[in-house]
Amino acid sequence: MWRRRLNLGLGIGWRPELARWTEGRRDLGFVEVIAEDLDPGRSLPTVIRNLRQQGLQVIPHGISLSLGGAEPLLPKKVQALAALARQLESPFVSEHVAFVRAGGAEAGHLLPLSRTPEGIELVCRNVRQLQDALPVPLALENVAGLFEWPQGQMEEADFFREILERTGALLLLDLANIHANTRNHGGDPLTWLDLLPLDRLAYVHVAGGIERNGLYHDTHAHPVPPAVLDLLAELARRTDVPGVLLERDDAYPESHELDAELDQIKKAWGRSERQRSIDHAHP
Amino acid sequence: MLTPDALARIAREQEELVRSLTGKGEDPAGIDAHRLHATRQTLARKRAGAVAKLYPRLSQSLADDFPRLFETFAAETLLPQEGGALADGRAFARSLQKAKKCPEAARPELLQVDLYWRRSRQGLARRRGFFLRLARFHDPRRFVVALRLPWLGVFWIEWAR
Repeated sequence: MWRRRLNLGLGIGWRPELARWTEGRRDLGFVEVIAEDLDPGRSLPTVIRNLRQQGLQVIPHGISLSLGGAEPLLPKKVQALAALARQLESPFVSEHVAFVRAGGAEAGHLLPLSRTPEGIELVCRNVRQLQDALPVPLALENVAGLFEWPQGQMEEADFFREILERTGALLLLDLANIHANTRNHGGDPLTWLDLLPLDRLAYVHVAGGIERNGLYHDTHAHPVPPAVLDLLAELARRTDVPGVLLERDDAYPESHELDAELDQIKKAWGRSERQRSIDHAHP
Repeated sequence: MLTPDALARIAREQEELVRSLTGKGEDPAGIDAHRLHATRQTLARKRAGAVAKLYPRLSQSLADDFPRLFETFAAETLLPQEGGALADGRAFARSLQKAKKCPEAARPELLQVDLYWRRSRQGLARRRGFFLRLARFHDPRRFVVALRLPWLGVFWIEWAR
């Protein structure tokens, strides 16, 4: 089974502002790069090549394919993601169950989908088209949304599970987004862990946020809240978690604060150096 | 079953939402107005933040005027389809240049962008051909030649005046 062969470890969303810290941190197993920030027609930036040479996996993470959108996928973006996966020798790529454009207009943000049976079919159609073009598997990520579409919405976890089952895609479980959506719309975050096929888990995102005017915002600019770390701990009790990645996009903390946050994540994950060396000895 | 009618309905709903969030249309029926407003604010903040990051000289030299001027621009201009925040910022700067409001301190930064990127129908595209621009800057006082030669690369030559 592919997942048992791949132990990603601890990861960080690669950002230029964190480049020096990333190179210095000795226990990272992987980074995620925003696919749209790289040009597959050019050689890889030196910093990324260095990380590969250090033995880190690099996962291209798309943010603009708009897999849930009614507009056809843009061939240039599909080809770029496939080319990046080859160039980076990634074990898989990741994208979102969301849409970012409609009627020729860009939203500039990942927007949640209307959760209907037709919506599921639309996502599955786009996902299969992307999977056909990729040289590696695709992992799908759940997004956060401040608003809900009206009328007849399926439960989010059911909607997501259906898409995974129909497409065979892997799962990028964003625990911070689950936390945000249950804070803002109600529900129990554990439902996700109960319902989703955890054997498809590729890796997990954690991130921080803040409450503003009665709504929780998944900002990626604040410390990871304890509730998200608790969810990670519960997930790690239920299944083998191949990788955990911290997303930090703004208000970058001092190195020692970032180090402390990664250490907290490792603790919640229940991962110790001894455990990692056991995993490596018995792949 | 995803019939053509169902697909058209989804397309309409999504377009209505995006237009509402980017300030170009009414709030879609049935979606909480307070939450739509919060989403609209998040998008606007994200858009301004991304431009400020890529154009630090421009945003810093506009200082307290940057949020207001960018908000006015963003309310009238959709996000470009090609080039992301770099294209968005360049279009914003172009609107300031047209209104003679572009700060002098931002001009070298804009020339650096123009050296590598050209204006396309959908935003910005990577420059592939020949490019030459001579510029005179005031702070510090200098002349600059910005040159791109296919195959040979880019050159930025400056001398004090």
